Amino acid sequence: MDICVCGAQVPFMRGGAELHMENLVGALRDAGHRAELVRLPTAWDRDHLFESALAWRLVPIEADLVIATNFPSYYVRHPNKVVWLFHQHRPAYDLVDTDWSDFGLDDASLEAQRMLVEWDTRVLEEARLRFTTSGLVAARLARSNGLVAEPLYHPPPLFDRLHEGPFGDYVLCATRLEGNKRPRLLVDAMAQVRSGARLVLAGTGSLDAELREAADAQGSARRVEMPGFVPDDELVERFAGALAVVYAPVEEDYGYVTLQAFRAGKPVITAADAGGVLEWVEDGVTGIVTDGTPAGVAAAIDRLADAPTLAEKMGAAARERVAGLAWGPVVERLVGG
Amino acid sequence: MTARWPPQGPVVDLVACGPAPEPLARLLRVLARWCRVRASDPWLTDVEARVALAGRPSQLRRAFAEPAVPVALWVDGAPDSIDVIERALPVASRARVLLVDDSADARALGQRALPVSRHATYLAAHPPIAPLVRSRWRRRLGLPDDFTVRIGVPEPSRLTEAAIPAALAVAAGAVVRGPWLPVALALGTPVVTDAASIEVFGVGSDGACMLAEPGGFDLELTRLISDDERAAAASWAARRFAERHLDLGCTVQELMRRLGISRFAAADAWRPSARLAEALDELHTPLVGPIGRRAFAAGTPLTGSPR
Repeated sequence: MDICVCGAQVPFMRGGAELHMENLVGALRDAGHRAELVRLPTAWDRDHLFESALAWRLVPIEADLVIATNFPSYYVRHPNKVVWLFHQHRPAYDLVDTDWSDFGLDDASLEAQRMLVEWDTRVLEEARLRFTTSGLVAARLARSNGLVAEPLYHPPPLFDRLHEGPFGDYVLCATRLEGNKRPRLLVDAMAQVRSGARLVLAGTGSLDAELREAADAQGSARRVEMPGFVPDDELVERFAGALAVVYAPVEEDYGYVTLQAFRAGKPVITAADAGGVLEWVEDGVTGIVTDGTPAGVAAAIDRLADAPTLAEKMGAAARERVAGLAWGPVVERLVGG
Repeated sequence: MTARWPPQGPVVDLVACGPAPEPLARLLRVLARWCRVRASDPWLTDVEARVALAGRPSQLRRAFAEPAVPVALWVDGAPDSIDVIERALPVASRARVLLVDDSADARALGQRALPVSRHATYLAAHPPIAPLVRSRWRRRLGLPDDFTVRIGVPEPSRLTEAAIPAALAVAAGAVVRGPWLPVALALGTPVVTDAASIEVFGVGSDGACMLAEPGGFDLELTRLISDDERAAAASWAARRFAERHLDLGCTVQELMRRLGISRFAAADAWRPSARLAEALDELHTPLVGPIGRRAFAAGTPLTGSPR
């Protein structure tokens, strides 16, 4: 079957969505299909959302099946459209009234939001099948657009390479250093950690300098390592040698870090408002769900540092939790219905 | 891309003698969204279809003067009215569509009949507003988040007629009985109503309305608006119902289909702007609104760009 995977492109940006699309194309090819990734540039500011959506509407795509992923790629017009929704344009939905949204209570915002919800609902409704990457995304879709979708879980990047290892003296967080990933929470928590645990905060982003300054100012710079971008081989070993993984983003859609940690047999310390992460982290079983305060996160780190056997037990349960994840069943659902 | 935006619709010639009855007048107003409806004029050119109001046969004759131009003929509800016209003016049998008020027995007029619903409304005037957008409007207006509306019940909300559509547009939900129900549905208001209204408007069991006994309206409304998923599903189901059953736009599109006229005049149909207009139409977005204008502007040459 000829399949086009459709996704939005933000020039010069690369993150989980891009990896997800590429891995999906790879999985489709492995299953014997001809698959291509089709991407159109997208601008995320409120006043240009509709042009990008319309562009998808106008581009003719010759394929037996299109699999649309994120906003606005699901505007693609095709008689055999399957949507596997990563997320909608969240600033117009659940992120309204946060620092990450340019939608206010002015006339233009309200009308743009009204129209976007209407457009989204129409084009998502026309899909032959609707899936989401997580239960959280499905719940948002039901709450906002009144549409039903089935969560379809997939393995994260590096899934086949991640392995177990010794429980070391550091907690790891590998993420983009941006506000919605809440890396500052981890740095602030380290100032309150009383055990000897260290934090390895891997990744790059706009908050890099601010985080280093905060660690310095709080006197915990020696215990906070920020190696920047970490190549895959090294990242796999960083996961393997960690005591635990700390990952507490704000309302994350899915959260590869959680699944990568679980695959490496590590428990995850998170926050009660971390969104899709909570579909995997069960408090006291596969990790620790904190109240999202620096003190709460610090206490969780100390708890595992003081009792490595507890980390081992949770890590084993975590690895078991993701044992069934594979691309084969995902491709079967997307293509076979 | 052409500099003409929006692309022009086909010319429809209106052959009328005297004022059009209310259902036809409303239909023509909606037809004018897609077509250039013009009063009959011997100098009118490029006419692609005619709508005629049955009057005296001598007045009607003009409507059928050009056999190649399809005609839709408005007839009154009496089953034998078309027989009367066709006896007096045999050429009237060429009318491709017989428009009729839906209070008449349209079946008696055969396959050519196209009923125009008395309850139908022009949905473009009442866009759907999802619960999440409604809640933001309530914040903007300083209304409580559980603001609801009651219309057609013993203790209705104190609203003027003119304020009702706006109230329905921002309410978290509403109890509505009677003639405002189509507007509430069109706006995507999560609605509770009673069996009598369901019967009148044909709102089935597709989730467009929640049914309650008069004594249980408030309880059902509270349940509906306190469940986000249910309210969102009800809002969209209401809009969908209105689009499928209460939209004069659907009737007009069916009329255009039967008349064999397309969305655009022959002179504009080939232009790229027609494709853009179709895409906007499909998303129920006005071509002359800000988004339509911006989308069209995106396809025009940059001023001062090298040639």
